[in-house]
Amino acid sequence: MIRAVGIAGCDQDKLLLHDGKKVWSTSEASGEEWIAKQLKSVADRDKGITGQEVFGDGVFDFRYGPVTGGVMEAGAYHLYTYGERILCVNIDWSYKHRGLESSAIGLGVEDALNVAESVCGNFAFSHSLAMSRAIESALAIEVPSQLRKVRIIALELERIYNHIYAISQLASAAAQKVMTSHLQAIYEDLLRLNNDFFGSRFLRGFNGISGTAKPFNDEALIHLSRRLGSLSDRFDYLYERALESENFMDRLHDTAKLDSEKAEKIGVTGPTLRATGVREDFRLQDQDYEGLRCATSQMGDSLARMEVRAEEVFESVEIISDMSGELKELRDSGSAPATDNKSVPDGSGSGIGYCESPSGLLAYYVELQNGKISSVYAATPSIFGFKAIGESLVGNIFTDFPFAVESFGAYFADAAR
Amino acid sequence: MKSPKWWPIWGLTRRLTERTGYSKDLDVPSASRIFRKSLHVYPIDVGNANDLNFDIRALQAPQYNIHRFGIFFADVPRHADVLLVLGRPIEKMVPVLLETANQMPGPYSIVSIESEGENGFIGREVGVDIASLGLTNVAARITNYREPKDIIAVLLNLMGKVN
Repeated sequence: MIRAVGIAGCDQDKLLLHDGKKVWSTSEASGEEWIAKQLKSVADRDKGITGQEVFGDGVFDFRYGPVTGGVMEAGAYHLYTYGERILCVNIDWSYKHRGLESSAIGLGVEDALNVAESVCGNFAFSHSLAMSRAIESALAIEVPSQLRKVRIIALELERIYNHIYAISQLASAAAQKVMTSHLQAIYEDLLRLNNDFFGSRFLRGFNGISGTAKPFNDEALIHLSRRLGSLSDRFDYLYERALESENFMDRLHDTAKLDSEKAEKIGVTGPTLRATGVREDFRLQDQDYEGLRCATSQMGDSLARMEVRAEEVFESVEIISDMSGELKELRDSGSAPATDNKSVPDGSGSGIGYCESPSGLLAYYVELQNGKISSVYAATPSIFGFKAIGESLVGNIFTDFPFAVESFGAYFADAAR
Repeated sequence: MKSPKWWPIWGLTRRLTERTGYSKDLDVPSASRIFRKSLHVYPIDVGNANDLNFDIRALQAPQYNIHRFGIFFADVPRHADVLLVLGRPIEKMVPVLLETANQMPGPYSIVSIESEGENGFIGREVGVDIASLGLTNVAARITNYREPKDIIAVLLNLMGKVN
């Protein structure tokens, strides 16, 4: 039996189905042929981007991964080339497929959040947040504003360290040794800051349903804002110098270009889409993010993506500072702290949860029966990120490869689940 | 901050390295005395949730400054003395891991790292136990990994540098 459920803001290729039984789509298209196409896309979803080939004089498949110094994660790129120019790209992430969606079935809601956090460690909080929003929507739980604000702080911290990581990887690829070391120092300090305030370097195990799972001291927020402010100043200083370095800028400028039309067709979101001039961000729909600037850039190349990331770092620091102030006001007015984890009702139902992860829109669809998970579907940003990498690499040369891959912020763990 | 013309010189004058000691006596035997001065490490991802990969990058941060101990990252297993196995191997990565271990030049050691809570979810376990793969030279297994200091402590033991 195939059933369609509408998910706002996603096109037909974006959210497909689970176990070959269900289709999620906003598209009005229907019919057996359309459904067969969707089923095939889902079957391919666990494998990667396959089936594209180029033939010609001296063209061969250059396989890069899963064990190589250049690609940290277990996954393989198949680059079709005659020696220098990349003609076609297939990407295989099946080495990383762990079947985590099916692992969550039968679990209670708190355990299911742990599974969601294990999908991709560097997006752990985004996954946990999207899953918890889906569960809260399924069980019709109202989230107190205190908790919403604490969650925003954690989500923005995740965005900051991911963006700094991506920029440090770009600097490293361009052999900017001093810049790389300083960015890595900031990155390590950010991870320690996560550990000091949220009890985990990667913000794991903090989020819960209708309350935080770990106690959270909001009186310490003033120290968090202060430490973050000094890290942001250090980053600002480095970033200004980086933009003056012609060596660095030349490597990023015009590399792995993607225009807005192609980006929207692929379905990619996040900094990649915003770097093509499209002002799209799920946070714009969120009332708690009032007055979000939403940084954009026009060129659609690696440089534009780095600019968007850097702007977002500064904006996230401001958001965290604002949220800390608002939390203090709430506390002074006598609201209950976000740490009170109320008991979760054993209900049934289905719900969808979204979140703007550091690399784009992340969505979870969850079905519950008597308080246990009966079905999960995750639409992760990296699947679309890899499609964009494949599209944009064509025509570039081998040495552009790290600048393309690192600027998109797509991860095998996130795509393969 | 005023920007000097040669700002990388400014960068080189910062002192970011920590003075904290990382060495701990862990009962991890050194594979050879030749590792006392330098140890080359190759990390292989066998299906972890990516947080271990991110922590390996953090390990290269100037705070730790692992080069002062003589620890370096190699680009290929052929140049390495230690194979860092990151995560719990998933089925498709098992033959890849065995072949990588096969490519290591002797003498070598294998260190397996799994982050806390990765040992399997309630419901079903993901991946296989590394002990069942019959790998030789497994010098240490960290099953409750928390931060990069844990890795440095094991590597210092492998070099025979314990205070």
